[in-house]
Amino acid sequence: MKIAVSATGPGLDAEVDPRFGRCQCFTIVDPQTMESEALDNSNAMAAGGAGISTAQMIAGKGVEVVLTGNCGPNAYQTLSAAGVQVITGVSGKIKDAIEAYKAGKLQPNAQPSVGSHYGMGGGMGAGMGMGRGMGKGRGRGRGRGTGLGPGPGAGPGIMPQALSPDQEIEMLKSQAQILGQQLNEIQRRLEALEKGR
Amino acid sequence: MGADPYAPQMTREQELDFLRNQAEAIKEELDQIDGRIRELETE
Repeated sequence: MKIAVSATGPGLDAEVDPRFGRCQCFTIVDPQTMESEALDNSNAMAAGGAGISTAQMIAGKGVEVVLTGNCGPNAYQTLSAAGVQVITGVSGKIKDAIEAYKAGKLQPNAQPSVGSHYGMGGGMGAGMGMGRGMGKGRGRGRGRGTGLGPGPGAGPGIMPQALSPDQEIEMLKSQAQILGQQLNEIQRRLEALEKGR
Repeated sequence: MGADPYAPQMTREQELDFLRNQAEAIKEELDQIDGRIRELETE
């Protein structure tokens, strides 16, 4: 059996990326042996259709279950059509998510957890077009919006019925942590560039 | 993560400008997330 987890980086100690279609990479895990394989998500910077393309890629890997933070309708339908179970609302370390799944603590969704274009956010245009090009030649211009609207409750993108308040808080904290890391990375790069004046 | 072979080259000034915008956008998103967490915690 193979489980695909949207990940912020390779390895079982990486965090679950709250996005499915535009996550940095996937970790494919055999829950019996806990052997894992990292898979770059080449669709993270796609102009459109990232959810479907990513879902097709994952289904093509023979994955039976996807663990992620959120999954939009296109990706959800594609995965479901391929017989892949989708479990959203997952956060924390990948190994903990796998253990929770094995313990029966995670249940498959009956519907997508977010609306279309979740995870594209305000940075999408610039991110796609230019990439951040930060260090080591890594193109990093992926969308990183949270889908949160300005008003109370969830804004465009999030359909909170799938999450309890505690789950949403946990997911938001996880997102904030990831964004904080990205911000630190950007600030480091900015400092390096500014010193190079 | 592999290198993106299609990433266009930016000048230093373009990259600085781009990164500053990115940083601002992330800060705004973090503010929104903080606000939402506060709302949830007081519910």
